[in-house]
Amino acid sequence: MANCAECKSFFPIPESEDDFEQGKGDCIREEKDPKGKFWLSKPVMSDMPADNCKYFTKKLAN
Amino acid sequence: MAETLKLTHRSADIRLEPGTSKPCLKCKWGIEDPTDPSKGQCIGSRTKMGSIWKRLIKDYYNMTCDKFEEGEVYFRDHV
Amino acid sequence: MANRHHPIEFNGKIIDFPYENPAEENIPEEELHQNLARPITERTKRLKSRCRWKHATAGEFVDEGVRAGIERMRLITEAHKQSEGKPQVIRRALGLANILNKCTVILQEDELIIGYHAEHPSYVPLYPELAYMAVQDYIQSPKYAPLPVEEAMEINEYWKKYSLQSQCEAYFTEEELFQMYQVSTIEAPEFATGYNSIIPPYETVLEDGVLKRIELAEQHIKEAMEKMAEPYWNAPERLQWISKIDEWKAMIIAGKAVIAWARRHARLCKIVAEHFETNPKRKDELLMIADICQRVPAEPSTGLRDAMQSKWFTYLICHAIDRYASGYAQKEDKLCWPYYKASVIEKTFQPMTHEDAVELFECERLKISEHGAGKSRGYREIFPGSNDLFILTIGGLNRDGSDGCNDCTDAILEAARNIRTTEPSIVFRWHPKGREKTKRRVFECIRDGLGYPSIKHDGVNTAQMLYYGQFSMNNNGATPEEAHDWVNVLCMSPGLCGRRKSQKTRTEGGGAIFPAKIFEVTLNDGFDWSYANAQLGPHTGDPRNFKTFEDLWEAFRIQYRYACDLGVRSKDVSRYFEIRQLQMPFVSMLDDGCMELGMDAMELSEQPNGWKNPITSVVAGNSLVAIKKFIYDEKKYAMDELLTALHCNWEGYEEMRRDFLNAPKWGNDNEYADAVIKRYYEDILAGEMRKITNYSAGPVMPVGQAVGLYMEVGARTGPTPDGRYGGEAADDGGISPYMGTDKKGPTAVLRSVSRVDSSSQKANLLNQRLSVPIMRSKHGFKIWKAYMSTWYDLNIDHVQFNVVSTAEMRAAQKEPEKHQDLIVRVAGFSARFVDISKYGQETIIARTEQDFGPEDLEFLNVGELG
Repeated sequence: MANCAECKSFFPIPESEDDFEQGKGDCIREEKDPKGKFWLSKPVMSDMPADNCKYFTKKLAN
Repeated sequence: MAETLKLTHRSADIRLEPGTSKPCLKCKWGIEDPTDPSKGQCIGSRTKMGSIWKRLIKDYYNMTCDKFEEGEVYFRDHV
Repeated sequence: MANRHHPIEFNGKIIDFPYENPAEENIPEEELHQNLARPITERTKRLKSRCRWKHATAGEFVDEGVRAGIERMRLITEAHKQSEGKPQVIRRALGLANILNKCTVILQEDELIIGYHAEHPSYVPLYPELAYMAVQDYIQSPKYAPLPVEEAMEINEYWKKYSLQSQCEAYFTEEELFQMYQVSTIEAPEFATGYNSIIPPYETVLEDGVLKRIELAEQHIKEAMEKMAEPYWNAPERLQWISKIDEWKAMIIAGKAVIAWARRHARLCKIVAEHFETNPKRKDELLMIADICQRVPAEPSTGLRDAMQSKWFTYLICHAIDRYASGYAQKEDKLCWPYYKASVIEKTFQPMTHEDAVELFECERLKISEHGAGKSRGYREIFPGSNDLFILTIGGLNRDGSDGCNDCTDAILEAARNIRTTEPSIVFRWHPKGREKTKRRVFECIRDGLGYPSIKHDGVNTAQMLYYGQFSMNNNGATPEEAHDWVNVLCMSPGLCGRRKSQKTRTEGGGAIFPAKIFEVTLNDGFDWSYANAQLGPHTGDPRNFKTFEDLWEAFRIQYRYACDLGVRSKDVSRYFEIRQLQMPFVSMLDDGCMELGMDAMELSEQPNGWKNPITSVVAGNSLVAIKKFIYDEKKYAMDELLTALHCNWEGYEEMRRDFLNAPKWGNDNEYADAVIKRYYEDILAGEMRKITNYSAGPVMPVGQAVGLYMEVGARTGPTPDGRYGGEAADDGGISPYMGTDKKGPTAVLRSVSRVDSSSQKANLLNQRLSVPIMRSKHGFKIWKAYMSTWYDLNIDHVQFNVVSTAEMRAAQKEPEKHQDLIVRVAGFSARFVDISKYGQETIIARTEQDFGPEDLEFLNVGELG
């Protein structure tokens, strides 16, 4: 089962941040519509299941 | 107050018919009330000068009149 | 080809009117406004071309794709359920914190100022805690409903019993609610629409930063706890600390959440720079913006970029995320001056050129243009062709009496002229000391047809702040110095700005009543036969039994008083529940008074600012004049005949209608009409309203204006004795002559308006349309300045201008896609002409295009025209 931590849109929140929590990250996606490009950031937990997320894209291994 | 001043109210033809299949909600000449979603405004009365003389619809879902026409008026054509 | 004004003879000379810019002689008058935009950079040109406009007309959004979002509703509900049992102010802070911690944060390409308040840049947030009817309207609309709609319905149902609307409705009868909700004699109350306004203390955020405010609150809590623990316990004295401690705690929760939310933007910019952006210049820019968002609003601003971003974040919280509020109230030139000075003049922080500053102000204008207001249908009707009311203020005098205009004022004006958006509108406070070069820029904006700046009399309004201050409940009203720090709260009414004492809610002042409709029902014993078919006012008798004009006058007074009382009562009942349920701890944190006293911004009121807006006043005024003339003075007609004619919409009574239509009209320097109307403004409109005392223990005064309500309410008002047909638009501004009836020239209008004592009113909107060929000629600025100087000397509160040709408006009606840059002044706001309904467009076209003849130039003391 895939989870958010495995997605390329998942960016862990550093410990120094005000909203740090263990396992918490920003889900950041680029979108585009006729008015232009924009980026959305939503907080997610690394272990949230991602199987039903239409935006899930597995991170490439480094 | 003399009753004659009340007789000529303009909404006399908009009648309550609970469950009507031709409610003002679906009528071309019905638009939403500015405040209360259960009410509406009739924009069917257009004066010769091009003005829109509205009438309050007290029950948008259950009132109707003989001038019912299904459809919608483009918002630039009302006010 | 352009239309050049014909030569006129003045002071013994023939005066020609060539265009100041000779190239304009070759631009057809139908196309002028399409040639005036000149964004200062390619960036702002791009941003404008892709702007996500949120204009609305007749209740609908003009652009496709605008809809309500569900995110705010969901997050505030989640917090409300989780915080049960906690003090209400803490619940409010936790609600804000939950939204800020979990909401979607957005960055759009090309932006220099970032941040949005819904989960998609085309969405608008909703407020189920305010007016359940307003949210229900969205839910019922397939085009705008938040998705999933079933969840939205559940949320709205959850909030219904807690909502401001439900709480307040209980204190009105069904009849009173009906009278208010249908918006014909009186506007729907704030509790039923969710509409609001605020003047946030931006100064505090920019000067102190939020971290310092948190420290202050922590210090206050510490001191309060120490006082509570002191021997000997004294309950009456010390129990009051409990609510204050809760308020300071709420401030801290809210402040920390705001800082963390701003820093989420920093992180987003950094990640986009490092992982998405390929353009090196934009990467650097994003890293610069990331640094800014990391520091502000947590810390004080240092340069202009900091100030603009910090201000924007504060704006989003106060006007959209914590609670909806219309407006963009701030004294922007004064507010930004220290940072403009640091960046542009001294170049010590965020060094930039004046042109860079102009670019920032253009970016700000485009952010406002995109700002989605989740407001009720009624408010989507009444600012047709525009987004919402966003008005910033510039000019006037500083606290020490020096000229308040500076290079920042000029940058704001240049940006407005360059980018050509309907919002934000601008108010320029006119004082004779105001420097010429800034006034020239004001003129250029007006000449370009933007409809703003609208102009407010600096002296009249500064004096008003002192007047209201004397009623302060804690004897801390405006000082003579503070009285200079005022802005328009929304489009017309002044209010203090700054670190303390500013108006924090619309329940203090605002909301409309409609004299035209009130007059109509006066002629029917309080009954509305033409729209609602219901009793809308008290029984004041059969007008056929009114023996004298004074009998009619007194009946009208009673009807008007009823509407005023009901309107202000609804505001103060709303206020009662705002204090208990809709606290604003972040706003409170920013106000020095709230911080010092541990009181919430909804509760603390140090500077009263009560007002209500009579809209459609001149229809009633002109009707009074016509009735006095034909029924009581000349006795040409009986009241019975008039009432019959009105109930027939004048059909079959054309000659009578012509008589009433041709009766003396306001705005023509006519002694007969002006005497009646002066008395009407002072004795009824102001005289009755001032007998009311509002929450802040001050008087309530009239702000005559219109916005688009003159169209909406005109459409709900039957025929009137001024000769109007049923459904026709009413007058387009508080003290403006009815469209097309001011026929004696622009100075006759000034003479009429100056007869009303402006100190008896809070404000009065004066709409005037000036000739394009005069304004764009080489004499335009001189003539306009002379006009403004005369206006000032006549102590007139306000004036705003349309400068647009009928030919261009007609061309735009035929080919709207070619006239996207045509902007007109409606009343209190500007609109894209092609986004207004046809009904509304015709009212603008019908306004008299004032020309300046030799008598006008003489009266204005223009001097030589070379």
